[in-house]
Amino acid sequence: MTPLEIDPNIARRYREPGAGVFDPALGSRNRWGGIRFLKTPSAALATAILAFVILTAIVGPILRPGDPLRITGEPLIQPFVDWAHPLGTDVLGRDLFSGVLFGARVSLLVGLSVAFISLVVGVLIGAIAGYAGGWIDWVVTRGIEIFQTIPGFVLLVVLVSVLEPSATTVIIGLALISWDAVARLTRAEVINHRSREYVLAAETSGVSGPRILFGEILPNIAPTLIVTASIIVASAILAESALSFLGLGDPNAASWGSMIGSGREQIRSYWFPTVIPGAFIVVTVFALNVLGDALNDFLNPRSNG
Amino acid sequence: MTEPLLTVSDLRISYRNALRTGIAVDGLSFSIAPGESLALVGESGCGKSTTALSILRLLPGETEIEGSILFEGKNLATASESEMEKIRGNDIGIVFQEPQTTLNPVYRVGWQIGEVLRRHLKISAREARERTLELLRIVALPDVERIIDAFPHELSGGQRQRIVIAMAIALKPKLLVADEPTTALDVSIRRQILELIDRLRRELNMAVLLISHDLPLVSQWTDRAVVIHHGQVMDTLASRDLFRNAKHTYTQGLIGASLRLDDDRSCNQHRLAEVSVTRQSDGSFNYELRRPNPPATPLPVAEPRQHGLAVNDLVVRYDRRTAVDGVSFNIPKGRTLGIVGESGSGKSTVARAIIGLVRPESGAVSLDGVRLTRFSGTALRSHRKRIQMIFQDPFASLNPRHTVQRILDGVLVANGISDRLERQGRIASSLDHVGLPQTAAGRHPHEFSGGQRQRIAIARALILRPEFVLCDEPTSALDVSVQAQILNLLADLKQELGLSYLFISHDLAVVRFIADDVIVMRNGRIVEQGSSIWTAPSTEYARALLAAAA
Repeated sequence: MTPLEIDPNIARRYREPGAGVFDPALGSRNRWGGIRFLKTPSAALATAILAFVILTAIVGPILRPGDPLRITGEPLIQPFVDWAHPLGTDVLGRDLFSGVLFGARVSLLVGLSVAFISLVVGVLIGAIAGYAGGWIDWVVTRGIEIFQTIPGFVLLVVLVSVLEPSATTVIIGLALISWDAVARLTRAEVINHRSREYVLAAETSGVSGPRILFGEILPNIAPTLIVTASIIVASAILAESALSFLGLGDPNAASWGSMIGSGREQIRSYWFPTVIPGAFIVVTVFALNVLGDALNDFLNPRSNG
Repeated sequence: MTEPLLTVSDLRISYRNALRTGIAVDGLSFSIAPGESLALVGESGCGKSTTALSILRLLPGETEIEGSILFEGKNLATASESEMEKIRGNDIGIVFQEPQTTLNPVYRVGWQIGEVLRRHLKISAREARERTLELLRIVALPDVERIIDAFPHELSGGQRQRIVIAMAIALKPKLLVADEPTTALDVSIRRQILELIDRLRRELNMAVLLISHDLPLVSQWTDRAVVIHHGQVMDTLASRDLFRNAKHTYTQGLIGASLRLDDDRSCNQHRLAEVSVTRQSDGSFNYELRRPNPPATPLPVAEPRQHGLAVNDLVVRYDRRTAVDGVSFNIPKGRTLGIVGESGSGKSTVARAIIGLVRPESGAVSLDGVRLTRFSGTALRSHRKRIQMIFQDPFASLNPRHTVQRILDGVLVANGISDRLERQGRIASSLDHVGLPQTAAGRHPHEFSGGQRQRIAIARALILRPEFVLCDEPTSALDVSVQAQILNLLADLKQELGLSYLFISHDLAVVRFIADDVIVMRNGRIVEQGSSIWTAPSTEYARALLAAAA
């Protein structure tokens, strides 16, 4: 035998009774997990883009104080021509740069609030249904099915047009059409974990139901929920943009969707009032989806075989 | 001596993929003569399956293979993919552990065997069907005209494994590689499958490479055995000498840890040998064999019959299926009752009903004369403290997100022990009992090996100081050497703490070692009970089980 040059740490990891030198490359959790995550190129890219968008939303009002809907110059100034309006102006002479900055705030606010509300509501309802089983589960499942059969966006449009269009209404409406997916996922995951031995073991040691559900099961399904949350943020941003594009969003706030909406009539002659906010939507949603995929690969390394 | 059919020399395989990196096989050499039956024996992670797969070149892409695998003069380690396609099936057949996943569930089994024939022999569909029927007869399947058109899910596990064997031998290969072919099957079927493989070996003059972790099985069914640890050969010897003339300490340790039905050891008088392997920092291994003795404390005396855990006429139904059908028994304090049975016999359900995980339809469970089935909620919980359970799979039974400290502490908190110091003390002493260092408390389950995890699970069961511990196949997910340590631990704890066990297992030898009394279950009923079954079983079923396990 040739003497092996091995790291003493790996030697200590030698564990299974017949084992050679195995070092599980993935699946080991340690405090440097976050850094390892950022070493994957797609995750790094997505995180960088989102960090940029978040930064935009934070420093926006400092960089460009005042109402973005205010008319500040000549209409339809080309981008990169006049440095008072680096991204140009729209047909009414509103500064596109201010609009984009402010739009980032609206998009993030809506996306994150919707994800938060639907997670809280969906997880609570889904977890209770999945854990309790029986008639509670039956009732909740039927309830979720009702929401799933209603076309979400139509419900949203109806809600927003009946109620007063404001950021709050949009958020509540979006949460209303997003929670059911979370609830269904949580319910399925809870049912899956309910019969696992670690849950049975907790049950046999006398741990109470709520404690098992929230202390034992939820931490184990959290990775799946985190991934779903990133997708909900993305779809909420898209839906908010669509609403604003249709003119159903908050009329007093500039959002990426409403900017596209107001620029669409000039799109044949002036591309930039639609393309610039559109690009921000595309890039942000893309980054969120990539982040979701990367998180999924990272948190559930075995899911892809 | 004839020219060997397969010569593996200085084989070195290392994985470089996302799930594991490292050396799996480290300079392995062995050879198989035509018609010979050779076993690669070893515990999890020793590289035996990797070796088998490397012969057929079925390993994942990012794997480095060095050394040579000479099969009839051709080096398979460097052969091209198209050459390998001709060799697989034609010259070397393979049987995997799990017939369920080897067969494609959407095709009829006859079609799947016929496909092999048609692809390699270029014969007509009709001819292929004829040959398939013949193959099904060769593997001794009944009613072949029906089975040829069956889907895999319509067949039993044993029948499916026969189909897989029929596929593997369809082209009359010169070598059959069988990777744990009976591990996923019930005890009574294992023997039949091994008999079949052995008969085919003789009839077709085919060499067999059997991969197994089971030493008694290997000693009985093969000519020579190669014992492997960390990808290196420890011992090469004639299989019949395995239990007598093992040279290497590691092999001796495995032998001492293995239980055979006829070796008549009992945990009340004996302990199993434990082999401990430690790795030095220079990478070499140190093997140490211990033959522990039972502690000097006297065995607890069984108390009068009415005390203990009594189960009366228990009936459990899942939907419409009756899982447990009128089971009654009694475990006096300080005794161990073993329940033996095949999968689906209802033995696990009995344990789950006792501890309240499933609600029995009728019947009673009582502890020292107090009926538990009448309680619910808090009252049940306070009684349940006295009965705890150990589960089969230590990888599934510990919450991966919690530290050991939190796992153990959670049990105490849930049972109303609010004093933090007392909880600390109890955690420390239960870790002590199961032989884990105190530092284990701060770590997560994934940092431990399977055997250590089972120790944590036992610590969790003991922390409430129960009187009865239900063990549901506590060692069947573990390797032989680890099984020995856990069985020794359970035996020691029984003696030290005066515990009583309900020990459920499909492994008769293990039950014979650990249990004082025994019950044989089948289809939810007790077929036979009493320790007389070891020597003079009175029912046909118990006789068959014993014969299959011997």
